[in-house]
Amino acid sequence: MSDMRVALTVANARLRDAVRAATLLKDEGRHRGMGELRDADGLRWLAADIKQHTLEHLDFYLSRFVDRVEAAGGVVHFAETGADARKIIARIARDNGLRRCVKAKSMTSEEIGLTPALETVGCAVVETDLGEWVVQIDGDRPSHIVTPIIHKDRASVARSICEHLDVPYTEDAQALTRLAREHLRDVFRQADLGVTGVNFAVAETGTLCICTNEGNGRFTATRPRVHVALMGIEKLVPRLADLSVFLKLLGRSATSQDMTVYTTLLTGPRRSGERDGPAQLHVVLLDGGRSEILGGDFREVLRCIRCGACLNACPVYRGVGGHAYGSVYAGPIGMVVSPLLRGLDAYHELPHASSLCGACFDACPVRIDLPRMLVELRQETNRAHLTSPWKRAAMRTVFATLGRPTLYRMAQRVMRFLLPGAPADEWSRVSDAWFGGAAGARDLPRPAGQSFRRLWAEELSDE
Amino acid sequence: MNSRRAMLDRIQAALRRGPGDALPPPPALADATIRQVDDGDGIVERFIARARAAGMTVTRVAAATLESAIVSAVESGDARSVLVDCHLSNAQSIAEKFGERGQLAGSTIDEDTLFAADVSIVRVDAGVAETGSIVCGSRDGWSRSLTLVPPRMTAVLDTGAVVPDLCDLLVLLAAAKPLPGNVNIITGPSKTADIEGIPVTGVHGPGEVHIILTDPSGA
Repeated sequence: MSDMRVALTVANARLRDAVRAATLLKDEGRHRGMGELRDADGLRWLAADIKQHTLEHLDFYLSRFVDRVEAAGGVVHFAETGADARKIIARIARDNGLRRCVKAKSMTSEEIGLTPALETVGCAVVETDLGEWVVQIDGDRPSHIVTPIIHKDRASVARSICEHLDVPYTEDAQALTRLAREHLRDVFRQADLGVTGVNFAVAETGTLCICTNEGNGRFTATRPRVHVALMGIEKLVPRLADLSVFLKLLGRSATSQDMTVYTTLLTGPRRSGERDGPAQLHVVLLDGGRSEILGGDFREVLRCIRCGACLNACPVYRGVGGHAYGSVYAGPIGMVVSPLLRGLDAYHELPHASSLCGACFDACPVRIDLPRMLVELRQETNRAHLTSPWKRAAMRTVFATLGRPTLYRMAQRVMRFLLPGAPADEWSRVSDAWFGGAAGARDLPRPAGQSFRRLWAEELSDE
Repeated sequence: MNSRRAMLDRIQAALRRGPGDALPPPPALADATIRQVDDGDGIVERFIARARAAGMTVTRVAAATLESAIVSAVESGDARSVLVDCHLSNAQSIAEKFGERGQLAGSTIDEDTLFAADVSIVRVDAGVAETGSIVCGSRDGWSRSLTLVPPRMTAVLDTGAVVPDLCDLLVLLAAAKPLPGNVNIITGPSKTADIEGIPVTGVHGPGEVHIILTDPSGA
């Protein structure tokens, strides 16, 4: 992430506190929730295996899924790129004369930049997830996969809502929610197009599984006469029964509840005799660079179930929040998928902005080895000469020295000669004076009286 | 290229798979790894405890007293307009208990009536003891909307329809012929914590969910 973006974020103490408090809470909730499972690790391994198997045979499962959706009366569209997906959805809107669209939260729709494309064909779009709606009326961007306004405190939310609805100011969360509910209820009643994402798509039955808490997802998939479900091709799972594995992990990893309030399984549009439900169900399958990832070393990143656990566990994310990443996908997962989906050129800094502590790997319900991939991406940025030539030269020198014992010993002696001496209580002052600028925020440890090698040699010689 | 064939070709090329390649079976779903609640005594009690923990109220009554239990649950709050799911047995007689305020929510009611209702009384298909969830599959009429639109919802469930674990529910669903077009697994009142992490209920879906569990034996 760029220094400026980081600096701006770090300067906003309120944002930092909000992000810190919320991520800590969710991370604790995850420990508690996962701790309640009889065999949390076993379940994670199973989830990882199911996803990996599906990815490795994605052509088969995708084919089966498409057949089942069509048999249930749905229509399936295939989008190679985000731009294609936008065009497809805009065409559906145009062909059906749809002018009022409601959207449930969908990171994929953010990824392709859907809203402007719909507006261009005369279809007004309203975000209906409470946080996303606030983001929309603010003209802002969401900062977290699961909780989009984690970066806003209550007063700023209150200002946004009350100004937008032109009502007297209130900071009461319940009252603000009521206001949003009443307003969005009218919006739902008028809407003719609903766009949702998909959490899991079941190949066996052509079923879309959508997990929500507020009820806006259900309204979006029920009220309008046309429902468009947009999904990356990696959302597939083989069997309906597989959902038991993922549903048990999703709630506990994301927000520490057993299940989201609404888990909705959709199979085809409205059937005869029913008065509600969409008349048309369109499933838009998005490749958008995923098939390329499928073919490479980073395939396992496609297992991601968008729980946000890695964000909540990451000390870097906790410190800077979502906007600093400059991408739709933030946090540890974002550091890997953003360069993979959008190109290393645009995101070459991201893989370096990590301490590689591995908390993300521990937290991930599908065991994505993000630290390994961050290191590999760093290597790729070096190979592509996207990193500073001085740093590359310095690292090459260090590498050469560490691999040659004689050179290493010589380097040690030179270092000891060059390092200033200082008594313990004066060390940090001296270190700052000598190294302050270069070391930045880091403290150089005080050197020991003698090198470990000499100490070791003496110990051995004593025996 | 935006066709099915083109997408599958790209995927097959990435996976270095050919169209005729064999498909090994998916990983076995080991019950011991997935199951959290075993069948047996106590699953109804567990269901009640988890449903309450999820923010729903639960009353357990003998089947014979169902109608009066429904009335007292509904009348405990604002109930100027009550919609009764026509798939409930005795739906007509339940609706009549509310006089002019009660209506059978069959296919003939209109949208305005749906949106004006304060309470819906719905027959749900199953309960899951592991999570305290109630499960409702779509059918004739306004089945999806009845559990979504009115701000208060009263769900009627037979204790015999409570399954131990989510995996049991999914086995049932996988065997359903046909699978309903819309199945909702509902675990609590609608909620959000988007505003500064403060939990708030009743966002778009019902803010109050009351479950009436009926014991067929009369226990």
